[in-house]
Amino acid sequence: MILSVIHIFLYFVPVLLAVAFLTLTERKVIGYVQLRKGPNVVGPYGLLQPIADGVKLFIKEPIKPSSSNPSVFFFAPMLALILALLLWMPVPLMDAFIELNFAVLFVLAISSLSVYSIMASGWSSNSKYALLGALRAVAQMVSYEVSLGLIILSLICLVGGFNLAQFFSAQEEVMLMLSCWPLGIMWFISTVAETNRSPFDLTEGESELVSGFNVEYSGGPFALFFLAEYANILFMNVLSALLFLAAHFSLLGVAVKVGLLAGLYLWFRASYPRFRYDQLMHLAWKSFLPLSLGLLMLNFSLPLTFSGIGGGL
Amino acid sequence: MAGFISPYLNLVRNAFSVVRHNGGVIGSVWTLLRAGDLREGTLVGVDQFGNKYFENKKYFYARHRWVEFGDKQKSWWEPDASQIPAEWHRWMHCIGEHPPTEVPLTNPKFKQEHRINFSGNSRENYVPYTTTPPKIESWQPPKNTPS
Amino acid sequence: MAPVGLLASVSKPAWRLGYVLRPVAVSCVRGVSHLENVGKGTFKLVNPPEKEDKTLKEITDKAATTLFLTELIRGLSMAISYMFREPATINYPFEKGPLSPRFRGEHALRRYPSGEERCIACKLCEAICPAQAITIEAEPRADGSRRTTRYDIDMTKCIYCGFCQEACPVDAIVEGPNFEFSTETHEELLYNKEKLLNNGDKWESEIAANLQADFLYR
Repeated sequence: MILSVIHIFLYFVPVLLAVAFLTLTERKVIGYVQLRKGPNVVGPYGLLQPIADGVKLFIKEPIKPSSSNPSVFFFAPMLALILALLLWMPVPLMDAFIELNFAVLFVLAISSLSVYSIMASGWSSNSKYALLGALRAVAQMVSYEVSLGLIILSLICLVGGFNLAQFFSAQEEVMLMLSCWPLGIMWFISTVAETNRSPFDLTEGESELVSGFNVEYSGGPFALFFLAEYANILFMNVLSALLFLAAHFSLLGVAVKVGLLAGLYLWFRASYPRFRYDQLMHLAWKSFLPLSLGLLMLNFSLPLTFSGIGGGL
Repeated sequence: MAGFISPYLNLVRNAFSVVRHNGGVIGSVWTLLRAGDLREGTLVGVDQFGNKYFENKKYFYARHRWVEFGDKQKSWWEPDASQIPAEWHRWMHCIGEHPPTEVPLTNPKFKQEHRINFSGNSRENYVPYTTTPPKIESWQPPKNTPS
Repeated sequence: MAPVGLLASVSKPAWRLGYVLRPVAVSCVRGVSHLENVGKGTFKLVNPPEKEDKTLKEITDKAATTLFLTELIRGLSMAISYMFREPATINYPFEKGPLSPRFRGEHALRRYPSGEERCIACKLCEAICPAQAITIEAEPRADGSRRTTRYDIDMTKCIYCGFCQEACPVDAIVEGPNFEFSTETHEELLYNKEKLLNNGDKWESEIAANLQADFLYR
C-alpha cells in the first residue's frame, strides 16, 4: 500500500518538477532570443522563480466569476491535471507504472478526453472570451488528433503492435524519424498544434481573446491548468521520443531527447508568428490528413505487396 | 596563426583580470550571485555610504556606469535602488557627464542627509500628517466662580 | 495582374444583374468605375498568382522546400542567432537608465540659499494642476510674510505633467530627478509640506545642477 503510494509519487513528482523548470527555461530562452534576460532576481539566475510562482499562485484567492457554474468551474482544472498525469502511466521509463498492451490506444483515448476539461472550463466560466477560446482549442485539438491518430496507425503497421516497449525493438536498426521522414515531421508539428503551443496558440490569442479558455481562472485552478498544459507538452515530447527517436532504451537518452524536443518547442515559440485560423484548419484537414492517409495506405500495402518476394520483409 | 589565437588569449586574460578585480574566485561568486554580472571598470568614486561607483566605456550607453552598493544603508545582500545620494544620482543616471569628485555640486547649508525609501519599514517610513493649526478651537467653559 | 483583370471582365454582366436587382443601392454608384465591384461578392486576390505551367524542376524544388522545411529552418536559425547576442537590458539597481535634466519625478519644495522657503502661496500651481492633486492653505507668518501652512500633493492623483513647476513664479515647486519613491501603502504617497521641503533639502544639489544645465533652453 505505502509502496504503491511512494511509487505514484516517484512517478509524478519528477514530472511536476520538470514542468516547473520547463516554464523557467521557456522564459529564459525566449528572453534571450528577444535580447533580454528573463527572470533573474529570485534565486541565483532566477532558478527559484518557478517555486516562487507556484507559491504565489497557490496562496492567491481563486476568484470565481459570479455567473459561473462553480462545480464545473473548479472541476475542469482538476480534470485537466488528472488527465495530464494519467497520460504518463503507461510510459516505459525505468518500468511502466502499468504495463498496457494497448498503451498507444490508452494514450490516444486519454489525450482525447482532455478536450472535455477545456470545454468545461470555457463553458462554465460564462464568459464570451473563455467560450470562444475553448471552442477554438477544442476544434484545433480534435482536428490534430485525427492526424496524430493516423500517423500512429501508420507506425503501428510498421511496428506491429500497440505496446510502447515494442517501439524500441522496432527502431533498433534505424529511427522511425529518418525512415519515414514526412510522417515524423508531421507528427511533431501535430504535437505542437495538439498542445496549443505557438505558432498554433490560437486559443491564447492575446490580441483578440485575452488569454483563451482560462481567462477567468486565477490562483490555484489556473496553476492546475498551467501544470496540465506543460505536463502535456512534456508528455508529447516523451511520446515523440519513444515513437520516432528511440534507438536504444536508456533513461538518459530519452531524457536528453525530450529535453531537446522541448527546447525545439520553445525555439518555435520564439521564432514563428501565430497562424491564422483558416490556415491552421487548412494545414490539418487539407495537408496533413491526405498526406497521412496516403502514407498509411502505403505503409499498409507495401509489406503486403512485397510479401510474395519473401526475404527480409 | 597568432592573429587567430590572440583574441582568445585576450579573452582568457580578461577573464582572469575580471575575477581578480572582483576579489578573487570567492568574491566573484558572491558578486555573480548578488548582481548576476561580473565586470571590470575603473573606480570613479565612493560616496559617504560606501557605495562604489564604476565606469567602463566598453559597455554600451547606460550600462557603462554602475554601482556596487555598500551595506551601510541596507543589507549587503538586498540593496535598494534608492540608496544613491543626490550628487551621484546625477552621474549614475547620465544626466551629467562629470562625477561629483570632478565637478562638485552646490552644497547648500540646509542640505539634509540622504535617506533611502523606507516604505514598508513601519518605524522609519513617512506617514502623512496635517501641517495646519486646527481651525476650530474647542470651547473652554468659563472658569469664573458661580456668583 | 492577370487574375484581377479576369475578375473585372467576368464581373461586368453580373454587375448589370445587380443593377436590376438592387437599383437603389447601385444607382448612386453608377458610372464610378472603381466601385463597380461593390456588393457583388467579388474579391481581389491578395496572394501573388500561382504560376500555371511549372517545369519539373520548379515542382521538385517546391516540394523539397516544403518537405524539408528549409524556410522554417531559416527562420529558426535567425531566431537562435539572437540568443547569442548581447542582451539589451540594463541590470537595474546596479545600473540605471539615462535621464534628462528635465526629468519630472518626485516633487520637492525648494529654498533660497539663505534657507528661507521659496513658496509664497500664490496658488498658481494649485490652479493649473489638471489632476487637482495640490491643496494649499496660506496664512501670514509671525514676521508678516505670506507663507503656506498646508501644501499637500496627492502623488496618486498627480500625472507628473510638470505644469506646477512651469506655473511657479519663484521656482519653489519642482519635479525632482528621483523616481524611486514607490510605497507599499496609499497613504505614504499623500505628501505634506514637511515631506516636500525635506525632499527639496535632500535633492537640492542635484535639482540646482539640473536647472543650471537646462536654463538656456527655457
